[in-house]
Amino acid sequence: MWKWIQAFASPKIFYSISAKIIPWLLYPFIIITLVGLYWGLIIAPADYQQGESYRIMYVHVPAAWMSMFIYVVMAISGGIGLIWQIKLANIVAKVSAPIGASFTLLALITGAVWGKPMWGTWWVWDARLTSELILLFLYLAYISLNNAFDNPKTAAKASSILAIVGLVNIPIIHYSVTWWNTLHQGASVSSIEKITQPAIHSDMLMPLLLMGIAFKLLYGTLMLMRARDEVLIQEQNSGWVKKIIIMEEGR
Amino acid sequence: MTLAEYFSFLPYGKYAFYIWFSYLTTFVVIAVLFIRTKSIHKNIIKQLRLKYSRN
Amino acid sequence: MTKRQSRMILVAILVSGVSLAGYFGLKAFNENLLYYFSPTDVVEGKAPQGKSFRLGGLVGMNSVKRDGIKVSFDVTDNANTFTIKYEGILPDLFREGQGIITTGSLVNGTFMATEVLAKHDENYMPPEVAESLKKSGYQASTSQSVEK
Repeated sequence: MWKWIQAFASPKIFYSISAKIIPWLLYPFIIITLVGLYWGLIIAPADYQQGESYRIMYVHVPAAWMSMFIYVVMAISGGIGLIWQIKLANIVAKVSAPIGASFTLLALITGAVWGKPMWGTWWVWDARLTSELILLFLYLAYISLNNAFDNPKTAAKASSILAIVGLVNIPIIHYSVTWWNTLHQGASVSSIEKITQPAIHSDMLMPLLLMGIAFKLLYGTLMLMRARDEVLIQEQNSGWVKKIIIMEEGR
Repeated sequence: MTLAEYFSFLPYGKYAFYIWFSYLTTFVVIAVLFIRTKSIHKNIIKQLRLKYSRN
Repeated sequence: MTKRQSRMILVAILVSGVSLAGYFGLKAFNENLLYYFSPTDVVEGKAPQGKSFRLGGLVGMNSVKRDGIKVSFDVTDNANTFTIKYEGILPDLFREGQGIITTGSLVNGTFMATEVLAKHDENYMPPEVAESLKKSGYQASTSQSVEK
């Protein structure tokens, strides 16, 4: 097992294996998204309270899940890179940041567009919305800190520390709606007592779960694609990269 | 007439503007992520090719 | 622009970003830690006196009285009740029994509101299901999420 991990963590082997994995993430992403959209926009019934407007949930909630999921992946792989000096872990952390930032922004925008007709406002400074905005700032700080150094090793070290410190914000985002009075409603899917009595009717829950899975596959696809390019840059002085580039020219 | 009312001819009536705006934004964000990934890839190949052809 | 200069700019962006985050964090955790007060909080004197604050609760049944764009209604947490007076646009979700959060201040026991926001709960279901739940005596949980 350990040998297998080490082998995969070698940039050269990662480069060839990841090329084979990407289609297995990309095509399921496209199919599941189409099914999820059809289900969410056409099959799923309107909500008893919010009418049609709740359909924004099918992009807002998966985007918000992504924003936190990617941050955790980024902080953990940054930590692995920091402790075990695994180059590939640092690369995964680095290329995840812009993807995570994009989805955080998307969660904030779709949330505002949902809030306007339902709550009556685009934005409020309640604990949930504020902590999600801080998450966006954490991503931006990570990206600019990572770019501030020429040496990838130093850059990874500094930005990983920031990512790990910022990890404290993740439980704050998740529990903000339980710990404090907020305008934002409580969790519908993740809380334990909701398993026996789901807060979302099954016809409405399925497309949400599908979109959640689809977005994770999307992250996998984009992350691997970007990680491969980052590997090329960081390994540009080794022979195998030169060989690949020259071979590509022949095509 | 507000912007939201203007788009009420679309499916979902008075919420059409908000729903379609959300989905459109999502599509744009995902498209930009893919386009950006492709352009990073192209730049890197170009840059490395230049480097190897110099020596 | 030299490398060092661009690095300095980036670090400046970082510093300002983090301090912005810190500022908004403090803002949220101090003043807005509790986004709203319940009518009971207000009766117990927990709400700020003499300045504007947010009051949250359920719109009282049969309490909404409209007069043009002027509207008055009760906000209750089933223990204490305040009468709200408001002029302006109400959100789509505003109705009797709905959880709302309103900004304004108390004038002689009446809450003069400048803004009314609707709060919805975490339950999603088709109208038919909601109807049959109602018939079987199940109460939509809007009340619990506001009361706590």
